[in-house]
Amino acid sequence: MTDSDTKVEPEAEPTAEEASRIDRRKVLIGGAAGAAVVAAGAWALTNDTKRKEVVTEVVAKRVDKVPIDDPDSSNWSKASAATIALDVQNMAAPMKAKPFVPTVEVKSLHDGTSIAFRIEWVDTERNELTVPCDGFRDSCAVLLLPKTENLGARIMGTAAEPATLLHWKADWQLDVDKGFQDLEVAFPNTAFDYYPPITQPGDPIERPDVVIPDSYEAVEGKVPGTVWLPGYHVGNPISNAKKTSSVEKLLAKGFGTAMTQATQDAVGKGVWADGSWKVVLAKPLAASDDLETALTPGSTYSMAVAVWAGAENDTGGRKSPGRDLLTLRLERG
Amino acid sequence: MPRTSIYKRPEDGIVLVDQERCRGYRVCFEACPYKKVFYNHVTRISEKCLFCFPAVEQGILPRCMRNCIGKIRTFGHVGTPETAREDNPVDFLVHFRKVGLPLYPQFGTEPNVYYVPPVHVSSEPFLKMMFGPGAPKAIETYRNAMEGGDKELLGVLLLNVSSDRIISKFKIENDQAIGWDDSGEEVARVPLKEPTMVRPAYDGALSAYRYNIT
Repeated sequence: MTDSDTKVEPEAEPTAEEASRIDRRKVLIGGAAGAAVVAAGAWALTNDTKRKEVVTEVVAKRVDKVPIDDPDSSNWSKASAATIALDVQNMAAPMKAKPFVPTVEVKSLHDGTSIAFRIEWVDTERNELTVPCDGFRDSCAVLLLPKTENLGARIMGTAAEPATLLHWKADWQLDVDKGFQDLEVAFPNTAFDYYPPITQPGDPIERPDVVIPDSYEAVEGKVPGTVWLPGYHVGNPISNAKKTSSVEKLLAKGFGTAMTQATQDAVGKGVWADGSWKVVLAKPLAASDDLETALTPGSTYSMAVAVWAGAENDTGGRKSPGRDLLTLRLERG
Repeated sequence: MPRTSIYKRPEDGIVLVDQERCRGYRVCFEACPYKKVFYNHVTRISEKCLFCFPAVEQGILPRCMRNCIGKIRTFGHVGTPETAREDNPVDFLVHFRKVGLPLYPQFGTEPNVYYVPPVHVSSEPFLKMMFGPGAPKAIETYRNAMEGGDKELLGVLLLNVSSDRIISKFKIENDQAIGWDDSGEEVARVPLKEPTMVRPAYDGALSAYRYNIT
């Protein structure tokens, strides 16, 4: 987190809502003893959510159109907020001994075609870069399974009933918003002569001789230049430099089995403000891949949520999953 | 590792990070006692040395071994103690002369990379910590071979990267070390003692002085 991320001054006379936000921001970042105040702010916010009743049902309200890429859309006020308790992850390595935050707030909307979830949680440190070795991203996920009380939701699905996952990643969001974050983001003074860097049209750095590896000149005319970026070459979505969505759709048959899906039709948007992430994750109700959980208005399903904190090096199983078995109910219509 | 992205090839024991499965958790990167896995900042997933498996599949030594000026590495199949063959160079080094020792055996990782301990390190506790209790004996065995007391060991060491081909069988004959590859073809033959020639500093034919360089 840099100062430039947080020092936002209002230009015009703020509305009441904005004023309250700005006040909170001042509490969060103001003053010389910034770190201590940030911690106090986080405590105040988490205590605020603690006072809300923890529930185990998420209701997807029917609206005309779901705001699939806008966490601040006014449509979200039509959804009922569910406060979901988070827990430790002590079933599979790497584990997490203490949840990053005690609760998250989950809202859901559907429009008969698509369903969207909005997850909001307190995270005073924004972590979006995975370029450095010690850079871990903030992220969150929604898991969907057929039937209610489905114990597979505890273990990321089973071979018999695979779970559909929507996984939003802060570094992907940054790639989508600002273009691929290449090596020089983490290492501004780095120099290389033959390693094919991934650049994009409009790249602010002048590098006339380099292009996206797809068209990188083949070595001795036999293999494409992408072989020097193995993850990219084999189509690993983590290594994809040309991201179009910050949400990945996966299928899992238990811990450690999550696999990206052929049809990447999940979308979303995450916005960090005032020491909190607000993230929308959305997908079509209908299943577009084999074994994907298809959703029908008027029906109920099992779901789960999880949050990863880059500040605590969270990754993979090192996450804060939901404590209770959650039910997802889609309103009729 | 969490996603079992790391796997060992049954045909040759080469360990690889599956570039399709890895999601860049960096758990293996953090845990590896040998620091073998590294994180690719651009692809955001982890990679490791792949032992030049396309070369190995053709019976050719990995590139770092072929390019090494000191020819300090070699590669081959290592048997279990009960199946070890005395005419297999790697078995000979590891199981018979026991000069090839695992690094940090106390970690219990049963590594398949073996090291001849450094002969100029004087701290015995340090050597034992790195290579186990057999380290001092291995150094003694190695020194003995260098001083001409063990023709077989000297021969195996001289055969190291004397060919690009992976040598799977050797024999010492007439003060020569001979190496064969898996197909039974002779791929290397080296004298145990390299012939040397000393030229006079002054070349009368050319009426010139010259330096002996090697």
